[in-house]
Amino acid sequence: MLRLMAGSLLADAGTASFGGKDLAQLAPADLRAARSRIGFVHQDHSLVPIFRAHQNVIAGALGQRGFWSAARSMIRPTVEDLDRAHRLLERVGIPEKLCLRTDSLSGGQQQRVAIARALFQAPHALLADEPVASVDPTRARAVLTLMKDVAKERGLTLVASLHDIQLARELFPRLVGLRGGRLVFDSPTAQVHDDALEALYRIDGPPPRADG
Amino acid sequence: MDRHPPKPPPRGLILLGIGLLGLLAAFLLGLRPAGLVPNAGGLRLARDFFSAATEPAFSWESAHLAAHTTPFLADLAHAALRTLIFAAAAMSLSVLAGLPLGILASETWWRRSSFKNSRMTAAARGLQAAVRIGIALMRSVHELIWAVILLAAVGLNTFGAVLAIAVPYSGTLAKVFSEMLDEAPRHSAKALEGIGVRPLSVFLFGLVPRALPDLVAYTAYRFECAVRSAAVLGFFGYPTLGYHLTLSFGDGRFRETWTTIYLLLGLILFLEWWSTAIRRRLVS
Repeated sequence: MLRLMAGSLLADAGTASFGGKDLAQLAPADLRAARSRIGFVHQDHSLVPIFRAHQNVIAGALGQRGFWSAARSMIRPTVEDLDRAHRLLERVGIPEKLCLRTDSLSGGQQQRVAIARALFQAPHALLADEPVASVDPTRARAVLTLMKDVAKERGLTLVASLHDIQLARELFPRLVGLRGGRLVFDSPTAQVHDDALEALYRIDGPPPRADG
Repeated sequence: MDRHPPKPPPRGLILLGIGLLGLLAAFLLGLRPAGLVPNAGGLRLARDFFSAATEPAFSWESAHLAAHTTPFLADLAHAALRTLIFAAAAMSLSVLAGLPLGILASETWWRRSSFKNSRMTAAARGLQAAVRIGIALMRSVHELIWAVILLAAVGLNTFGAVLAIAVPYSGTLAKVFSEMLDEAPRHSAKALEGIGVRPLSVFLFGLVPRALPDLVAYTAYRFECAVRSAAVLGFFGYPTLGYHLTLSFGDGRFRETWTTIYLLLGLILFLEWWSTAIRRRLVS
């Protein structure tokens, strides 16, 4: 479902639209342009470990630049790019890591770099696939809260898939339950009752997911 | 995927087969341990050679050479330096040729590019196959045979010697590079693709950096091999350490031979230490 929204998968039934346009109907170049404005935070370490943190952050804008300009921003970033990367890292709480190698950072810090990269896209929406799956529970709450806050600040739609139903209930106003590719419920968090959750997690068939 | 527990393969039979093949090969080659026992002359030579191991020379062993040439150690140091330069020149050429060839031989490069219709894809397959055949030709001929061919073609020429190493090494680098690129983790590339980055940028900034530590570590290892190859080229008369090795051994100046061997050993050990240090920094 997240990949449909991100335009990585095109719908064979129903529509996923972005800015009023159906993603499945877009020409490849337009689809690329649309994707470059949809911020995505992955569960695995999708950053380049040998890059400095600022290179990974600035990589968020590669989809909006031509080849030479992209190469330049990876090899010799402009002062403006570095400034923006620094401000975003400041926002996610690790400004001092700007020029450190990404693989020298902890899992939680890397996830913050990934969030900064998504924000560097100047996105219109923020999607996150299990953004805290490889982060310990206390940091998970902090990372999710941070994502929620930056999304609110910038007026972005935030959609995250989570396994941890408690976290989802606590932090998100709307929950969507998916099980084996089918919708189980889609309602404001307050209206999601325990029996709906039970239906979601009954142990038969494929493993369930909760999208908050 | 098969859900049944797989049966263990009949390993005992395979091992027995390999052993029998080995015996058959030894029989066909006429290998007999008796052939390794040297005669009296050979024994004396071996004893002289190995007893020189504990007292390597620090000056020319022959008075004639001592009177007419530069000091032994200076001459040897010069040969060691030339060996390193030969190897460095050969490796530089090999990386310049091997990296683009390796990219063109990899699956990832062609899959990432935006060839949409099948005709172009067939063309891509053809190009990739051509590059792979070219690479195989380059490395199927050993550097010593390239040296013989180039020696016959251009004579005792430094560039010829460098090419003799560079041609097969480019092929080997290209093959290994292409495999490393195909096996590199794809998470970063997929993430960039997902946010609309063009295929060439995805390849260069999402995939190559994930393979880079391996590429560099392997190049450092091949540099070590190139130093050995450059030394051996001295047997053909190129002024590297091998030249000293073969001349001193042929003249029976065994103490000089041992100095050369120890120097070569020291060089290789140093390079190994260096390449390990590079690897550790990159992988951290």
